[in-house]
Amino acid sequence: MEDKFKKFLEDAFRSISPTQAAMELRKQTLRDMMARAQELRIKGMTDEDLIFDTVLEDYEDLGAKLKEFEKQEVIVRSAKRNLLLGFVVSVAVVVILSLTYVLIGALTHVWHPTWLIMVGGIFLGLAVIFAIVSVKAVAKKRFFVLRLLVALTEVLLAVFVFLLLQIVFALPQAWMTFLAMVALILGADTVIAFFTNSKSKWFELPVFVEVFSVMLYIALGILTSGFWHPGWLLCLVGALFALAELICFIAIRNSKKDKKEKKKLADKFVKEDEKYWTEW
Amino acid sequence: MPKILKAEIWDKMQYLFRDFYDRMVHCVQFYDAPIDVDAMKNVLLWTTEKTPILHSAFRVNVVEPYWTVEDYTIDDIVTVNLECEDLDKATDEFVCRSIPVDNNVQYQFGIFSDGKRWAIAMIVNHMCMDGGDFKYFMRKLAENYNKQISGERGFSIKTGSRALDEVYSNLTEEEKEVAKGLYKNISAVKDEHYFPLTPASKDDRTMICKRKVDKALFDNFKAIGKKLDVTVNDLMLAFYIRALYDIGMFDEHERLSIPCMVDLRRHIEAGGAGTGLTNHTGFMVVSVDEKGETINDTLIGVLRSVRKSKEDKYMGLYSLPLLKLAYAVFPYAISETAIKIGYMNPLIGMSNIGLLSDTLLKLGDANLVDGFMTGAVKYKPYMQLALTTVKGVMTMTIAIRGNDEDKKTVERFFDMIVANMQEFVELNKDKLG
Repeated sequence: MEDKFKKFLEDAFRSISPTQAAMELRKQTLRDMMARAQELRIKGMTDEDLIFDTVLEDYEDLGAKLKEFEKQEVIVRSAKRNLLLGFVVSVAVVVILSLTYVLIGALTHVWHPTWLIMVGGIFLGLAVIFAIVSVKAVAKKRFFVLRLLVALTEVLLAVFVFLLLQIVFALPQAWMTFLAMVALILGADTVIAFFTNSKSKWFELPVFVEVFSVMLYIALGILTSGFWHPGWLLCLVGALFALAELICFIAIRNSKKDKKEKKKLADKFVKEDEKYWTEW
Repeated sequence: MPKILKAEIWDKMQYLFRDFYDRMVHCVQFYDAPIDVDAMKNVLLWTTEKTPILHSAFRVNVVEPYWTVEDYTIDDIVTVNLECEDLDKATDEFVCRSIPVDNNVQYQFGIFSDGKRWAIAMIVNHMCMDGGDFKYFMRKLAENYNKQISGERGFSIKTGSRALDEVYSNLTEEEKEVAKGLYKNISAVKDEHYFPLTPASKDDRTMICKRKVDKALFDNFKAIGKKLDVTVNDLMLAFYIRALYDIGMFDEHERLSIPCMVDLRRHIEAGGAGTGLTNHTGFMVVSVDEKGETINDTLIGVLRSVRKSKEDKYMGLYSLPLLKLAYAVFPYAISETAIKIGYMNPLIGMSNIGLLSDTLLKLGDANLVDGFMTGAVKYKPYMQLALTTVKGVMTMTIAIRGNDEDKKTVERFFDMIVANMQEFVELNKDKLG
């Protein structure tokens, strides 16, 4: 029995690369097969050929499992390498950014606001990580992760833009970046919702329009004198848009359902008519 | 840590039925030549290994019940007695028992002989499979046994999903949508007619009452039925309903409704060949407005009802979404109570299990000569007539917990059914030959 199992495993394992891990797996599989055969004997199976076949049936998908094992092994090795590369690149970026900051400071004696180079670098690094994770999340259809990471990236962008406007350009209205940030987050999220066909898309769109209107109203109210009134109409336009969208949404849905029902009824009448004329 | 299997909706429903019957499905098959016990044990073990539900224990849990896969040996399953004094008694005694839900194996198999005849008998927890899959199981057992004794390989048994939703697999998307909206509770048959058994007592015992229908009589009413384009099932419903009017002394002008079990595999892809062993049984309600002057009148009443049901392409699929909803929304303890409140177990029923093929159930050189399959043993006041046919001989069985008085009543009831068959043949003899 053991020799037959060995022969089976030798043939099966030839389909994957001859690594140490594969050899260990081969030995472990043999031990498992022998244990399973013994279990069947204890349970009362007496036909040795049937025992052999029954054990083998448990390993029907061994070929696919081995391919998966090999793939996983490559992935683990590749992941280890990527992790190392990522670590080295991160350290290098931090070192380069620090050196740039120190160099500019030493040469120009300007230590402020050149530190923004470091902050920008770190934010950019984070944004790159978010982008990589987002691509993986999209591949796995985990759209919630994508939406969360896009929102976080937008927050980082808004903070950096605010720091630039506030510190470098000394704009008094720099804080308005955060008003734009709210609208941007909702806008981007709505776009993603439509692209991913999320159920919440028709709810998000009016919310975005309304929030955008309010933010624009606040911004224009502050920047333009006398805008507060009748500028509030802008918010009303947002609300009216939401209402119009709701009406359209219900009307389209009803129309679709009506079409479906009519088709069903038409089918039914055709069938019933036929039945009437042919029933005896 | 034992391996856990999901308790499917039908498992839970069959467990709920413990208040109405013993949850066992029974089968006995008689052969004219010896059966190779060792080969059979090997095949049974292989089958059990491939079907984990058969060696699992049902664990009741407040939130969600489940099965745990258990260790076992073939001796937990198989009983062998090749020196029986009375073969019929030995097989009867074997099948008239029940397996607890938390047992390590969910079926038991007996091999018996009195030296002249050989028999195999099996009982299985109804939570694991219904009559439809039990017939499949016995066919596969014979097929695999024949391979085993001839040294062939390539045993097989279906091992697919046991989920309730498989029942919709052969419907179109549109039909599925409709079927999944059939929330109507059809368990409420609203018929209070009951079979006249004595009141329940602690002295009641499990009994499977049987009556064979004479082959000539069966052939005759079948032939007449064929001429009239009426199925054996329709005819048996008429004979049964008419006998119920008589035994129950129901008012002849009263409406009588009884559920007839239907195999829901008609709605499943390839007739359920790709699912796991499980339950896929529903029922259609057959109602007659009155007994009628003759058996022909009763038959007309039955046909009116049956044909109406048969025209419904969703036959048997009603209530399933309601059950699914109840089990999905509430924790198990609450859902069971809620379903018990809404569920009314039919007092009287009929199940036509159909043909036990002697060709497909042949075991090597041993030919199937007789046998029957029957559903669970009903507790009073519930009863059900089951029908099986072997080699052109129909066996009627009624499995109940009762006493000698009940046995006499059931025997009298069988006489009435047979009398109705004879009346039918007599009235329609011009259709013969």
